[in-house]
Amino acid sequence: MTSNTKSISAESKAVAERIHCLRDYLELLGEHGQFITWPEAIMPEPDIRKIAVAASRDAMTTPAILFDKIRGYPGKRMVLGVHGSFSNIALLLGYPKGTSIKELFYELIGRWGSDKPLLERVKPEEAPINENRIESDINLYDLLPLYRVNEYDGGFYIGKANVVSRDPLEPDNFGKQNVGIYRIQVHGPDHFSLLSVPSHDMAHMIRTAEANDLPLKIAVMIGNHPAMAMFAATPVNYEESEYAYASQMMGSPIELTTSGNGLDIQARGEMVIEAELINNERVLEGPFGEFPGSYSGVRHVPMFKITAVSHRNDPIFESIYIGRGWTEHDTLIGLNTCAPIYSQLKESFPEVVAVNALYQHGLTGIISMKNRYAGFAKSVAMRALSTPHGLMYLKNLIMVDEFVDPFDLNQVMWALSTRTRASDITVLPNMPMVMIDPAAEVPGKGHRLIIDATSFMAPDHVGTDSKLVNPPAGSEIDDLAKYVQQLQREAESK
Amino acid sequence: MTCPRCQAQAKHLRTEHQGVESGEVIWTAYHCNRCSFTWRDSELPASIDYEVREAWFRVDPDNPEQYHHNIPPAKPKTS
Repeated sequence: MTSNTKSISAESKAVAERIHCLRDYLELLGEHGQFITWPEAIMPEPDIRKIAVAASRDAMTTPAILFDKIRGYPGKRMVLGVHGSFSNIALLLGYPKGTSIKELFYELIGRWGSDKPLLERVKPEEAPINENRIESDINLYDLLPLYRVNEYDGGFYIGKANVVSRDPLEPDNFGKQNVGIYRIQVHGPDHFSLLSVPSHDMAHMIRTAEANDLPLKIAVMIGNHPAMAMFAATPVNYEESEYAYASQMMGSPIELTTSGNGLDIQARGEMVIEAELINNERVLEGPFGEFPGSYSGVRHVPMFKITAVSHRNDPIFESIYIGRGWTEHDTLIGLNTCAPIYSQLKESFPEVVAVNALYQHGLTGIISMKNRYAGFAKSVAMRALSTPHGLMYLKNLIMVDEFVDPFDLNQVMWALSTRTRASDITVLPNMPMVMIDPAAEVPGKGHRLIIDATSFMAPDHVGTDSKLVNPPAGSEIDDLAKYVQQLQREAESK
Repeated sequence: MTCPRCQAQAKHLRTEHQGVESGEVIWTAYHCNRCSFTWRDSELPASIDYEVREAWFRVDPDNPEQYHHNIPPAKPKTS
C-alpha cells in the first residue's frame, strides 16, 4: 500500500474519535433519528424477515432497527440494518444524513491507500467483551436470537460476523491473520458450518490445516466496530491486516484484545465465539438466499466445534437481511467494492472519474471516464475485468462519459438511451464467474457484457443531430441543488 | 414427525431447543441429523410442511454425491 491518504475533516475526526464499538455507533445514529426500537412483540419467523424487507425499500434513509421482544427469546436483543442506508454510512464518515452516494464515494477514495494502522491493545481481563465467559454446556440458542433469514434457507444463519483466523503453519504471525465475513449455519447448540469461497484466505487455511493435521482455531466476532463490519469484506492482500486497514479507513484506533484461543479480537465487540475446525468433516449446508437474490444450492461444507463464548453484558446480536436486492448487504459493501476498482483503474487510466459497483457486489458496474479516442472505453472496460474484483465479479459493465454521474441512474439511463449503438455491445463468452451467480452457464463460468455508452467521436460516424447540450455543472450547481432542498424544508416547516 | 425437507424418520431428528416465556413453551426447534435441516415448529408451512414446500428444495441424503464439495477434505475422516 502507498501512503497517499488525505487528512479527514474535523467533522469526520470527531465522529471517528467517539466511535469505539457498535453501541457508540447506535447512539450516534439515534441522535440523528437513524436508530429505532421495534415497539411490538414479534415471532422470529416470518416477522423479522418481513420488517427487514420493508425497511430495505429505502436505501438512502432507512434506520437501524433493534428488536428486544422476540417471542421465545426473552431478554435477547438483535439489531438489523446498522449499515442499511447511505445516511447511516454518511454519519459514520462524519457527513450529514442525505449526503449523495457520489460524495461518500470520493470521501472513501480519499481515505483509501494509507498504511498507518491505528491499533490499541487492551488486556483481556479489562476488555468489555470478557464480561461473561462460557466454557461448558455451550448453547447458541441460549445466547443469540437465531432465526431463518429466507423461507427456504437450510437453517438458522449468522450472517454478519467477522471471523478471525491465522495460518495454521504460522500461528504467531499477526500479518497472516485474516478477518473475513463468511456465512455460518448453526448445526447444533455448539456446532456450525462455515462456507468460504475456495479462493479466499479462509479456504487456504482450512486446506493447510487438514493437509498437515494441524488445528485451525477461529474466533467469530458478533456485534462489531462499524468500520470492521464495513471493511472486513474488502479484498486486501494475504499479508495485510484487515484491522490495520479498517482503522486507517476510519481514522481512529480499533481496540484489540486476545481471545481465549489466542487470536486478536475486538475488545469492545458484543460477543466472540471461539471454535476449532473438525478436520476433514463435512456437513450438508444450505441453501441460503444469497446476495444475487437467488438461493445457493446445498453443498458439503467444513464443520467447526465451539470451544468457548465470551460476551458483553446484555449483548446485541447484530444481524443482516440478505436476499433479492436492495438489501443491507448492498449498502454494507457497496462503496468498498467501488473504491479498490477505481484506485486500480486510475493507476492505468487517469481518465477514469468514478466507479459505481454497488449492485450485487459489482455484478453490474458503471464506469465514468473521458474517452481518449474513439473506442477507448472498451479498453478501460477490459482493464476493469482484470482488477482483482473484476476477475470474478464485474459481469456487466456500462461505460459512460466523464460528465455522467454513474451513481445517478437517471443520468446512466440517458447515456444508455442516447449514446449506445447496438454495435457497441461486446459479449465475452466463457469467462470466469462467481459460483453463485445464477447467470452462469456452469457454476464458475459464464459470459461477460460490455456496453459502451460513451459519446461518439472521430473516426466514428457522428450524426447530424448529435451536438450535446451542456447544462451548467460543477460545485455551484451542487450547492444550488442543496439550496433548493433547504428552501423546500423551510417551506415544509412553515 | 418427519423431517420437512428429507422426510427422515423421528429417530434421526433431534430436539434442539425450546423458546420459553414465563414457563410457557412458545416454540420448539428441531434438527435433522440426515440432511442437516433446522426448523422451528412455529414457522409457516412454506418452510416446515413437506407437502407445501417447493419440491425443488428437497434434499436426498441417501445420494450425497450429488452435492458439491465446497472444499474437498484433504484426507478421509479419521474419527
